[in-house]
Amino acid sequence: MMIDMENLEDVISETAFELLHRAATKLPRDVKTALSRAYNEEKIETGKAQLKAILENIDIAEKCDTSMCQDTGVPLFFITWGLKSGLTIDLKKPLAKATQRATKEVPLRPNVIHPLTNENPGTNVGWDMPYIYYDLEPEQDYLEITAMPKGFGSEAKSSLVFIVTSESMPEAITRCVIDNALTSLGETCPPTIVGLGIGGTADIALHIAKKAILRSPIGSPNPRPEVAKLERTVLNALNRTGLGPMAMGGDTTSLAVHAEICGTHTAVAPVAISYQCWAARRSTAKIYPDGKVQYITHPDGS
Amino acid sequence: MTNTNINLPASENDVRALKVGDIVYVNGITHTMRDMGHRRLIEMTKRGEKTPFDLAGGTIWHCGPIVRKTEDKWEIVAAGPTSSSRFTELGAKLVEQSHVRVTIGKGTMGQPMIDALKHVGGVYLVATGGCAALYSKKVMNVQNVHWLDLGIPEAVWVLKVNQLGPLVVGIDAAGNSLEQQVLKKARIRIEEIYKEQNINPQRTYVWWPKKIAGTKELIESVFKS
Repeated sequence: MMIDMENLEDVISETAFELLHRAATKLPRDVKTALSRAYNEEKIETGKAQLKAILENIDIAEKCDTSMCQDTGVPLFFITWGLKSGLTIDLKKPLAKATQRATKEVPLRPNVIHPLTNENPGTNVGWDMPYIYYDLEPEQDYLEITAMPKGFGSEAKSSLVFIVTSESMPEAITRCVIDNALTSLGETCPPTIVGLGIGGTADIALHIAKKAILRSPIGSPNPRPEVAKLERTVLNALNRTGLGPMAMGGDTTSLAVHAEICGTHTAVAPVAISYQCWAARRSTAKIYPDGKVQYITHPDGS
Repeated sequence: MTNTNINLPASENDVRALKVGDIVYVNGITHTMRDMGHRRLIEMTKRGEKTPFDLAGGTIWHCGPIVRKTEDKWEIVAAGPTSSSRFTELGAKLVEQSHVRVTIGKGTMGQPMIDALKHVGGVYLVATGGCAALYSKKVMNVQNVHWLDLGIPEAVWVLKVNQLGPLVVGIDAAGNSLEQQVLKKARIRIEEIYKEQNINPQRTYVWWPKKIAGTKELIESVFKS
């Protein structure tokens, strides 16, 4: 039976609260596994000490049910709307309610301010935050919500450049990623996930780069062989720099490079780079027409 | 590389004994400071006004915590380091002005900080970014809070810490920096990678931006040509 609208709003709000809560306090299993592997393989002592602190931190945050990082970021929601779900509702209100509640109860740091006046309402709600990205999926019969509390140590190192199409792209892109790593050093909180958005227009490149860092499981390759090859080349180059965890020296500078492409103009191509710190906080749930909720990244609260 | 315990406030001898790459745990009182706290402190000092706390010989932690108020007590929920490169100039001023011996943060701090630490005898300790749950367990209590009007993250929190760490010495009092050591090694590796992949480090691969808007370099390049 189809859920009624009033109850649907409550279900969405409750689910979004849980997603923010689980994302802030517990990493998805694939990310934890990648960090453990990096720790086991690390040969440099300072790098190993950083990864040990990170794994201990993840453990404490889980056990104590507290945020793993004090920068709980800005609240972003990625929606994939299944047209066959029949769920038609304004998501703004329930997602704002969930964000306000999570800020108070998890708690999250009240980060959201007015960008010109610095006014801080203390709720992480205001001026279109939480921000909602919408995708449509014609054949899907559920509504999928991903919460991404995006920290700004990594976000503030995002970059966008235009490269002429006569340039050899893989070399140019590798050069840009390495140059960025050399200037951002520990500020992106490595080991990072690097998202590459290649092609489209300026905003498309940045958007697909951001979506690339959400790719799950971490490290899964792009299905296009030429893109997957670029991912491997860039990741290999990053990890050979020896910058390592928190750029204090070590073997793992990045856990993964995820690249996405889009058709672009014949003259110049935008290349966007988006960063996710090691605390790759994301949590996804599916909401079905009967109101049933299935947590994907954090089943049974863990 | 050694593991060291330091009691705060640290003596000049204590900090001079630390070397880049050492792992340190600290015990005692720290003041948290972010962008707005630095700005207000420097402005008040410039106007000759008395600040409500004294940093002389003390410890600054670049941190904007999550806190919860329970009845009449503040409780630290999460406290970890923020990017310290934002405070290179202001932090160096505080080291010179108040002989701040220990500065704790994340990432790197630039040449003015290296010069100040060398001049005064201080260290910059790097905490592991993102580890706010771990570090908050090392905060025993909140002793005081100043300038709450700046907002919870930006206020100055006076925290008593026990075994706060691991912290890695990023800049020592001799003026050595971990950043420079890591970059020196990275440079050799990167030259190899570039050679293999046919990447020319001398070339500009990017067509736009030519120069970054809002920088000194842009204005200089525009009016030079």
